[in-house]
Amino acid sequence: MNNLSLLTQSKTTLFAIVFWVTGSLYGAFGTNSIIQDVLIFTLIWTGVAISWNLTAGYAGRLSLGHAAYFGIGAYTSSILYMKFGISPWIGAAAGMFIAAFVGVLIEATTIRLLGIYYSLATFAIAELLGLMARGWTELTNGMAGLTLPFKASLIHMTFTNKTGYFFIALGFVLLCFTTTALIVNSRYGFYLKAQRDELVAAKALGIATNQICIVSGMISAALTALGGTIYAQYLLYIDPDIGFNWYISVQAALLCLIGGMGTLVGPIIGGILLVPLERVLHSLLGGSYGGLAPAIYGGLLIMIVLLMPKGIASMTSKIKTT
Amino acid sequence: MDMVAAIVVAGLLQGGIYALISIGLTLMFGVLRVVNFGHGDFLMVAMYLTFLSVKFFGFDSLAASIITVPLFFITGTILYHLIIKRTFTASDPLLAQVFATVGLSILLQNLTLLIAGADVRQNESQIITGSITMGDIRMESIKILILCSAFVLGILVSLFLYKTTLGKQMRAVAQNITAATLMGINVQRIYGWTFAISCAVIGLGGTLLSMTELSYPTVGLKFSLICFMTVVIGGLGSIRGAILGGLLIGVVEAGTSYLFGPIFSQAFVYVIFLAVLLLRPAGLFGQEGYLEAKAE
Amino acid sequence: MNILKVQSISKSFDGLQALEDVSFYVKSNEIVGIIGPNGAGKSTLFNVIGGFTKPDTGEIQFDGQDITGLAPHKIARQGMIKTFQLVKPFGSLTLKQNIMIPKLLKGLSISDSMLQSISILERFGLVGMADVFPNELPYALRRRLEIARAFASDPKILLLDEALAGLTQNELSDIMDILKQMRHDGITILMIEHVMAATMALCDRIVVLNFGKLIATGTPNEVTQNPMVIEAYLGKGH
Repeated sequence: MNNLSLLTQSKTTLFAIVFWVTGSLYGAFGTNSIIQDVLIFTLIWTGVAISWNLTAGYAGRLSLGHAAYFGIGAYTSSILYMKFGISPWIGAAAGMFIAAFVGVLIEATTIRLLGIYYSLATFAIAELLGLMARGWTELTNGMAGLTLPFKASLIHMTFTNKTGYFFIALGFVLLCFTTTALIVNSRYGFYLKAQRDELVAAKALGIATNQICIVSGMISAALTALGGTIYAQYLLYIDPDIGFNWYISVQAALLCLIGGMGTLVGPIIGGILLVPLERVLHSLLGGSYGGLAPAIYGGLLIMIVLLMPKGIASMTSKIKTT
Repeated sequence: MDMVAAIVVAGLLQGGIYALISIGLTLMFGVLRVVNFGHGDFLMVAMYLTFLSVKFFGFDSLAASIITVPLFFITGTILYHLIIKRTFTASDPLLAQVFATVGLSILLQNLTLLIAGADVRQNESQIITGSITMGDIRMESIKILILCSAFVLGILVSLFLYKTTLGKQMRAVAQNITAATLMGINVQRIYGWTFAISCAVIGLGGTLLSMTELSYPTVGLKFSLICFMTVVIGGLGSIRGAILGGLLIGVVEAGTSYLFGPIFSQAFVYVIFLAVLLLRPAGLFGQEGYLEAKAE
Repeated sequence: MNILKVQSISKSFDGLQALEDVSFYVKSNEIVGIIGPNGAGKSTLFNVIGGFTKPDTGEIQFDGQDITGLAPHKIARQGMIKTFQLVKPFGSLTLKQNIMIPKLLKGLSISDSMLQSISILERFGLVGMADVFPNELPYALRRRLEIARAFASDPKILLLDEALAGLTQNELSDIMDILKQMRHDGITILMIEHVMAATMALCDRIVVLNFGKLIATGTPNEVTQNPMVIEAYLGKGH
């Protein structure tokens, strides 16, 4: 790696570190709940993006259905909490477990699908799960959604001020990041990248490509589900439109695309750049101009995709990431 | 027995709608493998433009196609050159196309929301009204028109693809870009034309659709999903497949909806879609999709 | 001792008979060439042997084991490594990292793999470009990388698919030296080739395919004088 790219890649990493150190100080001690709110959303979506990046950026499986896992996590913990009084922490673990199981099922069945066909299949599966959430009203309360009780305590993962949520979300991101970093820097990281670059050659050398794709998909699913639980607990509400929304899948991918797919810091950069922007636009232009904010967002999206197709972090390094 | 007939007829009529709106996607995705997640939103915009035409020019909804079709053709060309063409040179054209068109979709949805508000609308034609009754089965005239339009449009597009030079060039590009280029075909021009024609067809579809389906700014996603499923189930690159696939989905949906309810029937269609993807990606009538969909 | 036995392999695709009752063997430490006109079924044969395609009938025995129908990565783990006509380097990995993959697969630690990768790069004359990415290399060096990577797997048998194509005379003799050295180290080589002179010079035996059928085997001398082989390449009356 030449010196220039090492330097600029450090720049983006430096930027991310500075942002989050400042952000964490604010999250821990700050008082403006709006800023804390933005930070929490940024963390949650960043964590989901990091999880998506593992299976999409590193393993090369471009899922457009990660909302499925998000919804599974959100609904599992919420249902267990509301109907059986089980602590959301346990619910989170249950959600991760179920999502991991579903992830293995999905990845194993779609393992031979390539490209857009895989993306369409995952998209359809997420929509299917959303339909289930709508239709199975005895379990999920259908379109009315689940409103979670406000019982502020650690064991109920509910807090009176935002600081508690901030730390949970921060822990979530650290978990996702550490997991991904450990995998990527291990021999499995090599195998993942190899089979992503050249599937057939990887097999011809002896890499068990099916297995590693399924396992990375499983881990990605579990982590995404955790994000769903945290989100549900933060909002104290979940419904099929919030939990299984197609835009969750889009956003996860978007953060990685903008920040740089297949890099460790990419999703974090994407999160820093996009989520606060979206929240700011939303609060400035929502309401009477409902529609203007997302419209601008959409327009920006197009421009960024066209002008910076490799994302920012990967533009700053010579590594070919896609 | 009457019940079965009624369901099948209802399914065919609904399927006719699916077929009609999927023909545009067959050209774009089925033939050229260009992914446009904004397909449904283009339809939505066409529907709204139809309302506008009716309101401001006093056209009958049907006649509004005089406006929507050419307008969409031109817009399609512009969108192609501004956006789609640039995705081909990205490091991952698929991702670029997905996200650029998703961005377009978001943009269109929200601009429509801003301009027209969130109200649900529907239109009616003054010319084609009422319904025809055969035995115990009642069929809305507008839906019959749509079904017939799907067939006519399908035939026209097929004729275009197989009998005209431009159509043959499109098929050449679809089959083998390198060979087509070597034979002197300007591939960019073909893609541009295909996108433009595809949009024009969407324009027509949207106008007809506005007379029988509800429109609201976010209805696009629903249509996009239906169209992608129709095209995949019917067979990529096959016009016949898009039409038959649409009809099949319509009938299956009607039947399962009657037996198990609307949510189940939707889910059932998704399951069929997944099954087709996994077991026979070529769909009912497609050929080209087969080899590329699956790893060896 | 036969390291590879191909027995009665047939394969058809959509009605086209790509391979018909092909049988031959490869002795340990031999260099065997597979030749034949275009469309003869050579690549299909390689795909069947390597596990990428399942044959309709027949059996492949490798080192005494029946490997017919095994998944490609399992066959690779047993010591059969295939390279590709269109080279497939791992684009997001440097040369050094490309060579590390087979070492990692053998269970070496990351640091050990790195060390061994460097020494392999040295052996193949690529060590100066250890931290370079494959797409920055000229084609001939990518070809060399492909062979080096296969070699790093410590294979018992190497399946080379047109590894000599498109090379200059110098590049060709470099690769040929490398292959001869590998044979000296105990590796068996099975190679599909079109570059006739080099193939005849390098191979101990040649197998000739035409229209999916095996039409001749023998030493290079025997095969070049075989009338059926001549007819296959040049047509009747030669």
